[in-house]
Amino acid sequence: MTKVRQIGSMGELVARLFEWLDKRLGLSNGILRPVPEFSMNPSYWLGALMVVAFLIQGVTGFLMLLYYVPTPELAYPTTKYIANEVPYGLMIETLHLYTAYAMILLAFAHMMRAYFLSVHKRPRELMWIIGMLMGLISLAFGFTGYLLPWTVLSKTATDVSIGILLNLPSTLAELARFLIVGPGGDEAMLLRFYDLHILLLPAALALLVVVKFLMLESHGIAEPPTARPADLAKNKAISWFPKVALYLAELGAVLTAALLAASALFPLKLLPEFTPQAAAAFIPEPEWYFIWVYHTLKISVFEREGLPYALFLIGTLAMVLVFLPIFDRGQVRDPRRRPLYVTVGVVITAELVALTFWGYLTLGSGRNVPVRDAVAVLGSIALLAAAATLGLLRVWRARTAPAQYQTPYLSSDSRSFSSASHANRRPSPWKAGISVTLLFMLPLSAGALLLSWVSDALQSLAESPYPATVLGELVAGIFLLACASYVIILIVYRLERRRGTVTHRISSFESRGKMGDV
Amino acid sequence: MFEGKQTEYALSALLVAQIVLGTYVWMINPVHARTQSISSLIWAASLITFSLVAYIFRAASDGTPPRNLWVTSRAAAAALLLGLAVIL
Repeated sequence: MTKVRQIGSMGELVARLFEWLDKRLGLSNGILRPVPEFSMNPSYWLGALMVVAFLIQGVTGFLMLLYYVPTPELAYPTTKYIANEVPYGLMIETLHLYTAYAMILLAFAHMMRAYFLSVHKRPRELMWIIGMLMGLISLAFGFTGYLLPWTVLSKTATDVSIGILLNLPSTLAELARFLIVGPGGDEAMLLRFYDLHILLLPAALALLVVVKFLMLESHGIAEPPTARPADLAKNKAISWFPKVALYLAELGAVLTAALLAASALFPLKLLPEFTPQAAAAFIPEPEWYFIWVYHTLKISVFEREGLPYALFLIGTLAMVLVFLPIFDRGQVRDPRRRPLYVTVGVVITAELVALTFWGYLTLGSGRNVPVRDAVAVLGSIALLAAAATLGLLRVWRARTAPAQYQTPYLSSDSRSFSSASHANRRPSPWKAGISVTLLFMLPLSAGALLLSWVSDALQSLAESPYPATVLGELVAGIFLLACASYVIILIVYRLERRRGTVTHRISSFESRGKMGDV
Repeated sequence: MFEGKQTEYALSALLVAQIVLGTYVWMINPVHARTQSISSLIWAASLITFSLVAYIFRAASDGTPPRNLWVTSRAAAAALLLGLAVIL
């Protein structure tokens, strides 16, 4: 074991404890491979934090199991009993709920990090697929757990969700019916949800955690795609015991502290029990992580006959994400050289966040979303997100690329290609301002025109008696809009680049920074 | 100011005090919502203290001095006081 410098009472105690453990368990000669120094960063351990959250879920869930009874008559009274009568019961219930939220947030953050840094590339394709399945299981935990308190909101929202799921293609609908509805009736449904929540889903998640951990041990932690080989070569290997174990303990303690503090500050407020009379006064609301689905289904084109098509679109998006390594087979991992994938990722994230906020703000209204509004809002967000991402990526690439790869620009003084004389040239803020304004306004104006055209077309098509045609037009319209936005931005940027304005502007700012430093 | 043994002693005492205080507050009335909230906040602070102790131990084992330790400790204490103020 590493010799530890003795620094005081707690240090000595901890050191002696670790040495005691190490002598008996042989932890420092363990089977876990050392991790590279660059991975001592919280962003590399989001999956491990998800496991910590899963463990907290297990402990708090087990404590609630001691009191909870899964029948329609007793589910709510026992939930209320835990909150009001059991010592520390309110905190346990609240902690269980907030840890479920944390698990979903951590799963999403872990997925997006892996997506943007292309961790799903060879040989880690299966790790990505297993990670995606774990994320879907986390959502299933949320879905099944939402019903268990048997509140008026959870029961009505679950009924609505089941109604939506039964619109899936017949085989999937039958599977959903078998898994979550059972032979029919509230009692059977609650029992199915309970069994899934405490047995099948935890077992599946635990199994996947073990498999993914074994694969991580086999492949190691993915190197940062933007790091230089020379820097990577300098990285030290850090043994799991005691340093990485301690680091994970620190991160886990901070996460648990944050969840405890949130539970203390915003304890759970149990809604009224479900009864048909009480349900009549409530508009069903999903949990926040399903609001984007709920709001998508509120778009008028996806109502009634359009519902299966909406489910098909959402299902296709999920399947494409799960099997991303099959579609994205190139070996380039650097996000600066993957503008298309990075832009698509940012646009999807922006749309999910926008749909969630939009849905949250209009939760109680119960009104549908006109197609024109949906296209205008979501299209504008997609356009802005794409423009901002492409612009930032190009700037990032230009700033970090080696000097010999940078495009020379035409110096206004010498009228010749130069890479040195710009250092003494004072940049004009007026020109820079006009260029930036044009760079953003041109695609925005073109995008607004296209949006107007597409939404008008869709508005007329929405009155068509053939929803399949309407849906096809919607998909085609959005696709065309996205392609047109991309092409416009690309053309504007190429023109700018040919004139040398972008490179010149960056170089000017860099030279100003250097002069300021001196 | 707060280095080596002084930090160790201070944090050790703080950790023990937080755990004892959190348990004491909880046991005043274990089913009351407010005592549960206050004890949870104190235990949350003890977890932060624990992570600071672990951090110091990890940093000391390769000779790297703890970074921003004093700032972090004050932030944790301020967060605890703020939480208590909100609840009370």
